[in-house]
Amino acid sequence: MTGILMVAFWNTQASPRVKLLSKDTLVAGQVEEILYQVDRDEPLSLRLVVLHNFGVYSQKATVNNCMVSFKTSSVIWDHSGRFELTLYYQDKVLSKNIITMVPGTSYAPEVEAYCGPKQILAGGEDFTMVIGSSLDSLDNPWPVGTEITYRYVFKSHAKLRTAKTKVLHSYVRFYSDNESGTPVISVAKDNSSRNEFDITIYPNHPKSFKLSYDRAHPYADGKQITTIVTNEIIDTLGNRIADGSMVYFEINTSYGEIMQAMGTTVGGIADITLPAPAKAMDWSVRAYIEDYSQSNTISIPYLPSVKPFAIQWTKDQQLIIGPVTGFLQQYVPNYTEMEVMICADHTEVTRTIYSREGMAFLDVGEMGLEKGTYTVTVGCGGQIKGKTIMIK
Amino acid sequence: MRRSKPLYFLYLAISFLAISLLLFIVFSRLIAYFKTADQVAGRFYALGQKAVNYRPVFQWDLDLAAGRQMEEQTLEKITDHYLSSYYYHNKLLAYGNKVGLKDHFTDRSRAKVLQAAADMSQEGQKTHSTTISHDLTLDFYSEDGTLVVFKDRVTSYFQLYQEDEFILSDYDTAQYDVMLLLEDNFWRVRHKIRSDILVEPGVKVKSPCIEVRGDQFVYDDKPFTSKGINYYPAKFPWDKFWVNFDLELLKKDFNIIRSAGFNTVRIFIPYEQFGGPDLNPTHLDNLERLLDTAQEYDLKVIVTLFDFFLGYQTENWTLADRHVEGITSRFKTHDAIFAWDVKNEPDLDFDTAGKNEVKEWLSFILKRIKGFDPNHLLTIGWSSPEFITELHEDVDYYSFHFYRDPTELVPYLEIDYDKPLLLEETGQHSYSAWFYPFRKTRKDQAQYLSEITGIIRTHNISYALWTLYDFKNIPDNVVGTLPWRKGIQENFGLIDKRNRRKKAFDLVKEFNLGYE
Repeated sequence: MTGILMVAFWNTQASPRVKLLSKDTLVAGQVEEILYQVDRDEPLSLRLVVLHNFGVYSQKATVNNCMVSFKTSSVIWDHSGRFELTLYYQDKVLSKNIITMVPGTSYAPEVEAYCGPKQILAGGEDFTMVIGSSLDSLDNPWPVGTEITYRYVFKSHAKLRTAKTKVLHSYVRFYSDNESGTPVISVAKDNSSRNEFDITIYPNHPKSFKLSYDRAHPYADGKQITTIVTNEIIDTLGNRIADGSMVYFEINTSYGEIMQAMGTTVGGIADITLPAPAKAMDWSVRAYIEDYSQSNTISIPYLPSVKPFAIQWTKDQQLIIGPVTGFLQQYVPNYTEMEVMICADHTEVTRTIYSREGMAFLDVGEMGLEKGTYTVTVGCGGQIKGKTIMIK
Repeated sequence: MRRSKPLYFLYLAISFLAISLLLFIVFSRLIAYFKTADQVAGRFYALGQKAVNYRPVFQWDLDLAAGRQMEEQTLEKITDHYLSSYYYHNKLLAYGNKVGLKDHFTDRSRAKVLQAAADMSQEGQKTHSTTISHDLTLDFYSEDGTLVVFKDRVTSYFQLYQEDEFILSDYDTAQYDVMLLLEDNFWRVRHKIRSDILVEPGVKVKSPCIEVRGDQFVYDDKPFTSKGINYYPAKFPWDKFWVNFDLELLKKDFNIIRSAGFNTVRIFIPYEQFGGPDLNPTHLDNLERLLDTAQEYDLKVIVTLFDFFLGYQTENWTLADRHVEGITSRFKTHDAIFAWDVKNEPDLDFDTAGKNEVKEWLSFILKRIKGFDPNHLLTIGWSSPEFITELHEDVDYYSFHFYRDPTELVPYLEIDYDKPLLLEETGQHSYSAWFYPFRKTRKDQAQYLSEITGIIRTHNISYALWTLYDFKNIPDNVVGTLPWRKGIQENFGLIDKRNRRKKAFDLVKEFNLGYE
């Protein structure tokens, strides 16, 4: 068209003269027609080419009574923005005009708002950003400089901010309070329309905490549950840390074993429950929240679950163990495991036997050991007893 | 009966041979068919198709952005998704194709885009359009990384059609205020509003190059007449040239050219071989070596771009734009360049690609080169003198090719042109074969050049002859496979296949040395 344009400029003598009668600023959606005055009263067919937000639109109309009117039924006239109009007669440009379509601001606007991040940390360093713009009924943003009101309400206090729109948007930052909770943020234009967001202020980094434990008895019976529990963990600002925060527990036994367990907080408290060990030992327990804080170290002793018991050596070369009683004077349960070790200078024999009615028997004579003196060691529930026997 | 026996035998033998041959052909074709790999790739929707067809130039200004600090990866993604929105929107306006819109426009803005396109379609209108460049200025990036606002100064081009009839075309430079939202991992257009434009002219850097004053070339404040020759090495014409680039050979040839009194060479840049939009760095480096060598031998170079190029469709313009940007901006200050000849004989594509399409493309690409390289001259190498002044506003001088009877040239030179004229290709072959009735001898060739140079002298114009060497192997895509057509093209040189100078060589040398 560059060629067409050039030709057009040189031939304006032969072309009709036109003048745009429509105003150069119109309200989107309220344009009735685009009207040109033409210096001829001939039924000339003129073409209007409009460059708009989403492409090119062209229309033809015929001159009538020195006027040419273009219908504005197309949806493009509902959009705001800068419209470039070029009027052609055949291939000649008759006029180039710019019409600025402005949004309809006579009615209350719709407020469009975005908010994020929605989760922030207490303490006033973290913030959420709220972005708002107002739109007319045809989805056109109101002009630059429109004032948008942002309100932040949390517990008993509120913050109010206003911001004027820049290109397509305005924004404010709301910094977090010291208390954790769920503030509500609303965005409005002249109280007409409102957009609301809930944001969550999470507690800040947790402080160090303490551990305690609870159990029914101190004996290593392999069954009883021990509960290890933290105190209420709070952040540096006194907020209880968020539910679901993970607390890792590390348990070192006196045998050099390391165990790990994890609990999540509810109401600031995390706990774990563990069965007591099957033999006497000491636990040293420590808990921590990764990267942030840790607890004191506590010690949990487990006592042997059986009382000292007797070992008899009979003439018919049998070992009679028992009666074996537990910490409440009861016989140990049937099938309680006992480790029997029979040692001499060059011999070591181990047997596992099980109790019945508190007693256990081992027929050493049937084991085919050589004659001599042996040391017998019997272990049961952390209780260890020894005896010297002579095999004949 | 006795007589017919040998006849029957002959008949049987011929039938047997014919049937065998037929079976051989059929089976070989069948085997070839089943053994040839299927073009599977072509059956799939090409991933990243936009990258193949559409690559407008863009640049970001992040200096004045408010909000969160923009990350490099996010900016890359925003650019990709935003430019894709133009690609799909342009497809909608051209073909009514709604593919991709859902990914690149939010529900509300998509409704506007679709309604505007539907209104156009109702009027029987469509546009073929492309954007050429985007100057993007980031205004705002939200803290949660889901919203950006920026300004985009777009230069675009469109062709408007009504009921499939071309109405008009134009360039459009506009500024848009744009808001994008990150939804489902896509940056979608929420608002796009045309706003007041701010057009800044590009900064031009001038360097000592050939200029045009009136209808004369001027170099170093002195009138300059191009005495040129179209150049390919003898062994490596057309597409063999760049893949067999040999600097020593080039120096030898440039020495011959210079000693024959020429001051200009014309070379060709094949579009596909140079990598299209993704320029082949090796070829570019070789082009630089060629230009440096030309400088060394005091030769000027007419660089003919877009050889064997057919991508005139508006949708593909940005690819040509990337190609030309890569070449012309790199060599914009190279003193050896005489001019960029934007396309060799584009008028030959008028029938296949459409005259309007070709001219619109030429106009576009000339404007773009002027932007990338404001220093060097621009021209179009028309195959026929009838088109000399086509697109006269966009070129700096007129070029044309002439292989007809020398007397027919005179009327075209008698016209008073407003810009210098360069007879960019002319010459006569010396091809003779027993089956070719229009054979010419070396004497004919010398005679033709003698007449042409006489006319050149009389009208005092610049020229470039076709060509230095007779060629041994001409690729099929140049003049086809017919032996006489190849034969003609092989024998246009001033030096023959045995490296002996033809009579025309001495004639032209003598002319050159006495022509200013």
